[in-house]
Amino acid sequence: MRRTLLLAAAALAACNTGFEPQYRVRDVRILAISSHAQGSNAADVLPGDTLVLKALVANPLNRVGLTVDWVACLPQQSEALSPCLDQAYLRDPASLVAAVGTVPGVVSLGSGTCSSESCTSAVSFPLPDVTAALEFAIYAAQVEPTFECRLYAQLVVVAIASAEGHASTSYKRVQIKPTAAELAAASPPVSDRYVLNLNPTVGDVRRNPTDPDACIGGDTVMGGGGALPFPAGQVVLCGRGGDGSIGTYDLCDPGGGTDPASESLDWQWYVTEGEFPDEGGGVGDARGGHVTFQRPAGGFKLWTIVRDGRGGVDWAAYTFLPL
Amino acid sequence: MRILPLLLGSLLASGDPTPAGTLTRPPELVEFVPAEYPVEAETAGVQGSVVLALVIDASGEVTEARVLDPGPHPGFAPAALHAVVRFRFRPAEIDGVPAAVEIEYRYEFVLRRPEPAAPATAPIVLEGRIVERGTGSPIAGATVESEGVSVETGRDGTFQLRGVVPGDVFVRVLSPEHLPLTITEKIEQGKVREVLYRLARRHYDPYEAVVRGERDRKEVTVRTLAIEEVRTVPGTQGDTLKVIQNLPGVARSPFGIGLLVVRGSEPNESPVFVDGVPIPQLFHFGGLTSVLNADVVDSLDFYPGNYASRYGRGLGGVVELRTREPKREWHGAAQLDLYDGRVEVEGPVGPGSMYAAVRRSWVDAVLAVALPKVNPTAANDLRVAPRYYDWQTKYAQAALGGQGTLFAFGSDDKLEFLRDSDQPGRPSFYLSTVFWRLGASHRAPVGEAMNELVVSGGRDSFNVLTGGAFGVRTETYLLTVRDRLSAKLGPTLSIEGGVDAMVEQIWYSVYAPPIPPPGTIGTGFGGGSGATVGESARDWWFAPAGWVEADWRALPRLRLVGGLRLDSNERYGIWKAWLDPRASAFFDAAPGTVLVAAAGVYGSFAQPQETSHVYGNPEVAPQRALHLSAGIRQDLPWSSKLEVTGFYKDLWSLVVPTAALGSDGRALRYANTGLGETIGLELLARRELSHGLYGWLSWTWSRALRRDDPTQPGYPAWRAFLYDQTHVVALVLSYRLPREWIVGTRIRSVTGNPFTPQVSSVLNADSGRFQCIPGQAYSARLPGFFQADARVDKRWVFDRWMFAAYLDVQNVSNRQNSEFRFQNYDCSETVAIPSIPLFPTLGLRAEW
Repeated sequence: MRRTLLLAAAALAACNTGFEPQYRVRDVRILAISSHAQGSNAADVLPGDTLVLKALVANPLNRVGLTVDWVACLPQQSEALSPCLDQAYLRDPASLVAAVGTVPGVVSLGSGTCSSESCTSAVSFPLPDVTAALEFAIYAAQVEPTFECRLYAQLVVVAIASAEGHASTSYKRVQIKPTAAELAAASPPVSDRYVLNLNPTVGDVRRNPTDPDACIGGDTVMGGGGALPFPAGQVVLCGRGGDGSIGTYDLCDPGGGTDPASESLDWQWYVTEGEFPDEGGGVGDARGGHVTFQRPAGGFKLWTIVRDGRGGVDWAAYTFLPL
Repeated sequence: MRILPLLLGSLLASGDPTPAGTLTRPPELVEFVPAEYPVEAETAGVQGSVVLALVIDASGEVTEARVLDPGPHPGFAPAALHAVVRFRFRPAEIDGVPAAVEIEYRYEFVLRRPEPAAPATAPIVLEGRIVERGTGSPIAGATVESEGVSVETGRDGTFQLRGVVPGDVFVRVLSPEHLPLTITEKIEQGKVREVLYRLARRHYDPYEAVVRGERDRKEVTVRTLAIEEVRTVPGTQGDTLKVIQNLPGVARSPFGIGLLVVRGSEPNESPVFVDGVPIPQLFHFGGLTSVLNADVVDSLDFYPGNYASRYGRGLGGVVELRTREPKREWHGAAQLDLYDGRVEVEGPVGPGSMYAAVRRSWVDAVLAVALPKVNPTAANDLRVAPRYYDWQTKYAQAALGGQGTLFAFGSDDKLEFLRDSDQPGRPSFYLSTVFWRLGASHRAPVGEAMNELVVSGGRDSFNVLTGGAFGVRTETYLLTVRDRLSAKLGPTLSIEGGVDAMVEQIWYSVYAPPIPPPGTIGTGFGGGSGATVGESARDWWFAPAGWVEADWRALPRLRLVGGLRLDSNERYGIWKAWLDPRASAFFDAAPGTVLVAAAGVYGSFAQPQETSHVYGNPEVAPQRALHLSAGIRQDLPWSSKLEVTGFYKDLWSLVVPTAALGSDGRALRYANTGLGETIGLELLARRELSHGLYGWLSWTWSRALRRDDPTQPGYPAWRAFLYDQTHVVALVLSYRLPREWIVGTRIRSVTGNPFTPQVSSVLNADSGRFQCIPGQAYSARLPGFFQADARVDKRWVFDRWMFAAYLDVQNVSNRQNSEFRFQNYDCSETVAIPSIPLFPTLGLRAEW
């Protein structure tokens, strides 16, 4: 492990790969997937909830007929490999779609369409009965107490966006938490140390803030619909989470105790054109609460995505006018 | 003029017909017999030397003498032969045991004037001491001669010369291993002149004093390196363990890090011992430099396979490092190079002798200056820059009818990054690796047998934390006992047996996401769930083992060695035991030619993390291997020899990841379902550490394969082993020039490592990072590796100290070797990450 880290650090430090950076979106790509229970901002769901899934899909070339297919793999009463996380299926996502109805636990959630450069495809469905999987999660916690901090069953969803022969695939794990009644019935008893996670929100996105760490000052990028102006030259962009975005949760101590922990917001930036000059090396993933951006001469789209590190996510998308 | 032969002998390195042991005490001439100077040579005024090969048996008798170089006069060789067979030596010791050795001996015939003995009552006119230039060591047995009067120095290098007529006189000092000294002294009537003479060694690197032993070995393949032989190997910075990677059977490590991949076995399957004590870590920071300062290493034995029954708990090879004995005179050394600085002192302590050495890196000091300018953010987060230190000390004295030794050594590595946003107790990155050992050894005869006991205790601590997602803390206290009793039961049979026991108390604490079944996309780290699980426990681990071995010369030309080793292991209350039979045969096909063959079964227990309740499977059984090898050892002219060895290794019950489930639905995670095999051929042509040119050519051809668990993608196909390198060629050459210069080169050519190509990717929406989807495991291969290194060493010798410098240049042609493929964000593009570019290193060293 340590050798790998040292090697990776050494290699990346000297790395000038010439790769197209991750932050620049050239073709159909799923950028994020969010989940929440209908009528709630919780990223996690409970038995009986209706789960709403949304995918942020970029289609900068405006390819025609973009569709998003949704497949889910229901949690099992074991630690068996989920088909939705199985390399053999994901190597050819069409095989996963074909597995619906033939492989136990693989279900279709439907499909949606997108008709703009940036769209959100959404599906919703009532959770099926996953009692057996939840009982297994409780059993795992009874055997190994540190599993009390992950006292949930995982529903894995896969979204496949495709248009004109170009496809993008993404997966997300959705936590299904046992109900209080199920936990109360557990024998031997288990402590519920998993804190339900709420999605963060994009509170503000600002340009040239006076305090980049706090993302205060400067001028806001957010504002009405349609294309917006954007000044020439290099600017600093920053993001600030909305109220309640940073939650707290418990980390199970290996010794059996619990350590309180606080979420840390992770901001990710995407554009159709332009450059994040500080993120040029390696894979070019533009991340951070504030980043430096060099705009292009032409119009461009900007996406910022905020994640809380526990499965919660929110995003904002903007279109900017040419100079 | 009277003519006397004068001893100017030197012990020179020589090739020997069997693999070498390690010389712990060279033979010492205790009874010199002068040769008759041939009259014809005397009359003609001919001087010169005869080089002879002497076989000295374990009692110090010269049992065989033959002429290697007859010298400039035909009468010299017979005269020298007649004299040397009557020499008596204090026998050499190999691994602390008196043993037969073969040496080269130079007998010099020098014309000298007659030396009438001075009357005992004559007054002392010249007295003083002879010491070695540079080291200050006293020179015993040197001859001080003036005006026909001579005297020999005592053990402390002192002498008193009597009866020399007053006036300006020539004084001549002669010593076998030193350059002669002639000086003019003014002798005054009635006064004693006190002097201190410093003689320069013929060569300060003790190449000419290295003697190869003939002690019978149990293993058909053992490669011994003396420290003076490896210190100047280019590209290794004198690192003893890194030199092993240039021997046959060892794969090349990427970036020159110190993985010990022996005959297709995983790096952790080749244990390393220091004076019989196992150590948990070979290198600082995974490969920067070895944890044992080369200054205290005397030699190492490397067994690539088919090793004897006294070793176990591994499926690969074995490395046995031996530290040197402390000297009785006060000495010291200090060295600086690119990575670290080191200091060493030694000398007499009470009835024994002792050394202590310490080394510390200064990478942190350099980074403290440079990093804020290069990357202020990283500099701000860096709480502890990478730093390491290690230390060694040893005390030796005669005790309890034998030789006793107390030793201690340790190592400490640390690196820490901490950000304000880090969770308490879960820093962004924290690495700490600490271990120490304290022990004692005793070697003494027990009746007709010889017993060697090594007892050691110590502590290992390994902590690595990478943010909230992964952390391991371990602390281990251990006690090891190794005892070996050997006895000769007759002229053709000897037996030995022993115990090899280890007791550990382990405490560990781990937090990490649960290990996903093999075939799962991604690793689970940063998966967005934020939920880790953990395990913390304190447990005992018992690993007692015992072994017996018989060594039988069945026929005058056939020797057989057979052994049996019983290993057992208790962890989490689960006992496992296994029995390993081993045998080897040696056939003297012709003088200088030995045919060898061996077969043996080996076992090792799973790694601790593989037996964890939460992350592993406590029920896994030992891993097993069958080693087969056969070969030929051929002596060659010019102190050289050739070894050719073919080998086959069968591996079964390997602990590998599995997606199988237990009866309760929980993942087994690991199972003994892995298989492996390696077949190969090794060639080693080696010119011993001797005159001028030395080094070796090593070539290995091999094929190492693995078969994974039935639940793994790709089963039942066999795949290449991670470090399968079809051809590994290394040419290591050094040449010693006059005036203490040494130049050397190392050239390596190696088949590229296999790797798994990535065929596509999917976005992990919880982390915003793509996960690559692998294709067929290890089905692609990196381009071949080629690198040439060069090194120059120079030593300056002053009266009281010496100064040395070296320039080591890795990759002199600046070739861009590909070490691995780096992928872009979605694995649709890759680029080769090159190995080390042209990289010069300068080292400075002072000794006194």
